[in-house]
Amino acid sequence: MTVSFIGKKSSAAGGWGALKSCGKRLLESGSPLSGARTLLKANQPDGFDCPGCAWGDPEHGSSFEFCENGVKAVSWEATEKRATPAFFAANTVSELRKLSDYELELNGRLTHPMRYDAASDRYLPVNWEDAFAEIGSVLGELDSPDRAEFYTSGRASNEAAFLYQLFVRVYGTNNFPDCSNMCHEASGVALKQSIGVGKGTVLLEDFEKADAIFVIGQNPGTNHPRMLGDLRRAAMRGADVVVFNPIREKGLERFSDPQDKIEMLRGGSTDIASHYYQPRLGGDMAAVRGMAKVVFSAEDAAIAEGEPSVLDHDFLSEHCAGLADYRAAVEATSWAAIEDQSGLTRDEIERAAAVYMRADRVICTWAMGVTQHLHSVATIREISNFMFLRGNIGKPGAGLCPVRGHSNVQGDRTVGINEKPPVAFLDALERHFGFTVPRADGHNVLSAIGAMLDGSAQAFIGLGGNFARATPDSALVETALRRMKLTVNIATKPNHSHLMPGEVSYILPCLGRTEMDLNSSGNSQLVSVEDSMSMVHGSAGINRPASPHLRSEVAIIAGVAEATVGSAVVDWAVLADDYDRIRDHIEATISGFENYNARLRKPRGFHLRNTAAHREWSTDTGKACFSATPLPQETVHQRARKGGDRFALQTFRSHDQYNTTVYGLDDRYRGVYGERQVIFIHPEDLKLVGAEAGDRIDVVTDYDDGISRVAKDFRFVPYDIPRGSIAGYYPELNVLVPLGSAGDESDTPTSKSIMVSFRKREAA
Amino acid sequence: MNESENNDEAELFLSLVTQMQAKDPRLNSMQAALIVAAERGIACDSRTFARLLGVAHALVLRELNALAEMDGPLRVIKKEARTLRTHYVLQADLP
Repeated sequence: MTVSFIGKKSSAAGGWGALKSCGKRLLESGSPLSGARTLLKANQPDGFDCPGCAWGDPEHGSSFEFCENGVKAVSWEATEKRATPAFFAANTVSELRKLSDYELELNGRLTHPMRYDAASDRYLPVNWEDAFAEIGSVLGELDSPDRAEFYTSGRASNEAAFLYQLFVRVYGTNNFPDCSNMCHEASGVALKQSIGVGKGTVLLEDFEKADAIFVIGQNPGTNHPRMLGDLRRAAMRGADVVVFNPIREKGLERFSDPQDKIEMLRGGSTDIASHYYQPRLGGDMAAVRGMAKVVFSAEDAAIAEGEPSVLDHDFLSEHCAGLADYRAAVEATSWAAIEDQSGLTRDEIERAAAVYMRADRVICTWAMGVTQHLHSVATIREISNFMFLRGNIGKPGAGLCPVRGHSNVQGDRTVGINEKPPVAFLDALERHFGFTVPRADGHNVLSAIGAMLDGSAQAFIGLGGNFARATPDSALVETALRRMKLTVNIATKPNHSHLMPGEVSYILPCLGRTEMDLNSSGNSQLVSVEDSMSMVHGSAGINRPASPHLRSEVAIIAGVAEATVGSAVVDWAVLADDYDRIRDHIEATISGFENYNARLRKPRGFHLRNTAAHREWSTDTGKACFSATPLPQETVHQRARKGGDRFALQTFRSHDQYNTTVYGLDDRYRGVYGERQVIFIHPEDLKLVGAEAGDRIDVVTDYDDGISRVAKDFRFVPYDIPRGSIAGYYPELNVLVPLGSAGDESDTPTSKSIMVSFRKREAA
Repeated sequence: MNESENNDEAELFLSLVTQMQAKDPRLNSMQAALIVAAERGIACDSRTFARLLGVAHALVLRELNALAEMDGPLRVIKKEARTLRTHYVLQADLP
C-alpha cells in the first residue's frame, strides 16, 4: 500500500527535521518481509576498533575519526592501491628488497595468495586450497612440532588469536614468539610479581578523578594521541601531570584538542605537563627511588612533628609485604648514586615527590621508555613500590597503567598467545577439547630467533606484523628467515618479512580490521579486542574488502589448521563460519569471559576483572609485594660516559609511523621532514664529536660479541636531549640492537639503551 | 512542529522505508532508509544522514559500503579522508 505524504514539513533538513527517533527503530527492525536477509543486527557494534593503539575508548566506534593516528591507520588500510599479481610479476624479490619499508607498503593492499618461486625469484599467485595443502604438508613433515615458530602481531583479534593458539597446541608446541615480547613483557613480569596480575589496574574513568598523573618513558603525542585528550582534561581541571622523558616531546607540553572546536578556532592549546623532567636513558628507576627516598624522609619528619602520616599505613599493613626491606634498600641508596644515574638533581626529584605527596589519587603510566632496558622489570617493580607507599592501587583515580601500543596485544596474551602458558589454562584446554596439550615452555621472540639461527627451527608462520623489521639485529634475523623450510606471512600489505622467503614461502592476504567480514550466510562477523584498561569490546568492519580473494585471519588460520592437523579435535570450518562459537570456547576455557557473546554486544563491551584493582593479590604472599632490588650498578648511559666518544642510543617512532608501518617521511612534532635516517643529539655533544647539524655519519654498536653492527648514512639533528644520549627511528636502527642484549627476566631487546659510537660515513 | 507532527513525520519516513524494502528485498532497513533519504533530498552524505537519524556514523558507512557492494541504487561519489564523510547520489541521477 502506498502512503501519501500528509502533514506539515519542518524547516530543518529539507523539510524532515524530526527523524532522530527513526534511527533506533531502524536498527531494531529486521525487514518486515519474511525471508529477507538483514546485515544489520540490533546489537552490532557501532563501528570497528581502530587498529592503532590500545588506549581506552569512551565512545567506541566514533572517536577513531578524531585521532590523527587513527585516521592514518584507517586510510593506510583503506588505500585504493593494490599489490596485485601483476606487481609481483614485474618485480623480483631481490629488486623489492632495495625498497624501504615505506616504499614497499606504498604499493598497496595484497589481493591474492602468493607463493614464492625460487627459479624466477618472484611471488606467483596460487589458490587458497593449494596453499593450505602445501603448508599443512610441510608442517606435517617436520620431525617435531617444536621446529615451527608461530608469531603473533598485536593486531590479531581475540578470536583469531584463540584459534591460532588452539591450532598450534593441537599441532603440539608452545612456540609463540609474539610482539609483546618486544614491548611490554617486562610490565607483565613485574606486575605479576608485585600485584599478582600482569596488567594495569586503571579504567579510563580513573583519569577523570586522578589528582596527579605520572607519565614515565612514554610519548603519547605520537603513540597514543587520544591519551593526550585525557591528560589535557586532567590538566584543565587542575590535576598535575608529571612527565619523565629524556626527550622534550611537544605533544606532552601543549596540546590542541581537535575535538574542542572553540580551542581549534582560536588556535589555542592547553599546557599538558605541569612538571617535565628529562632523566638519562635508563635513569627512571633511580628517579623513582629518589622520590621514594623523599617520601620516607617526609614521613619521618611528619611523625617527629606530630603531623599526619605521609604513608598510607592502613593500606601498607593490610595489603603489602616487604616494606621494611624496601625501606632499607631506599635508605642504602645514596643521593649521589640517584642523581648520577637518573641525571636529575635532588631538587627536581624533591619537587616531583612533592606532587606525589600532596595528591590523594595518583595514576602512573609508562611505555617503552621504561620497558626496553636491561633492568626494566626492576624499574616497574620500583614504580609499583612507589605507588604502594600512599595506597595508590585499587581506589578510584589511582593505579598502575602500562600503555600498550597495539590494539590487541593485551588480548592476545589473555586468550592464550603465551610461550609459558598458565597451567590452569592448559588444563582447561585439555579438559574442554579432549586432547593432550604440550606442557613444556616454548619459544619467545629471542629464543625463536636463536632456534632459527642454529637450525633447530625450520618453519616460521607470522600472523600479521613485520617480524624481519620489528626484531633486533635485523641482519641476523633476515638470515634466519631465509634458512627456513617454510615461511608463511599472513598480512594486508607487502613488507620486508615477505622478502626473506624460506624454501617454501607464502604470503596470505587477509582482511583488514576496517573491512566487512561476511560468513557463508552473508552475515557480518564480529571480532573483539582488549585495550590497555582490560575493556573487551567488539569490532565489525565497515568497508568493502580490498579484493574478493581476501580471507579473514580466522578463516586463514582455520584453513591452515584443517590442512595440518585435520578436524578430529576441532571443526575449524564451523568456527570460522561463526565467531560466536569461538567465543563460546573462550568462555569455556578462560575465566572472566562469562556470557561473552551477550556482554560483547553491549555498548563499550565489558571489563575483565582485575583482582589487584580490587586489592586482591594473587601473589605468593597473598599481598602486594615490595621489591628491594638495588639500583643497577651501571646503566648503559653511565658506561657510555666513561668512553668519551660513546653514546647511549634509544630507538623510537616518528610521528608518521605506527610500529614498523611508516606512513610518511615527516616527523613534524620533532621538526624533521623528508627523511628518517637521522640521529637526534644534544648540540654540545655535536660539537664534542666535531660535527655540525646536517653532517652524515655511520653509527656503530659497541657490543662485545664479535659481530659488526653498523647503521649507515645518518644525518645529525641537534635536539633537546640529555648529554650522552642520542635517539633515532626504528626499524631503521634495529640493525644496531644486539640479540644478546635483552632485559633481565623479560628477554625484551634493550632498544632504549644501546651503546654506540660514530664513524665517518663509508663511501657508497 | 509539535510532537504529534514529529511522530507523523517519523512514521511516514519509516513507511517509505518499508515500501523501499518491499521493492527490493535485498535491502535491510538502514540501506532502504539511505535510499529514501537520498530520493527525498533529506541527506546525500553519511554524516548528515547519521546526524539526522541519530545513528553512529560508522554504521552508516558500513551500510553504504554494503550498498555499493550489491550494486544498488546509490553511488558513492566522494569520500573525505579525515572525517570519512561519504557523499553519494542516486544512480538514476548520474549523467
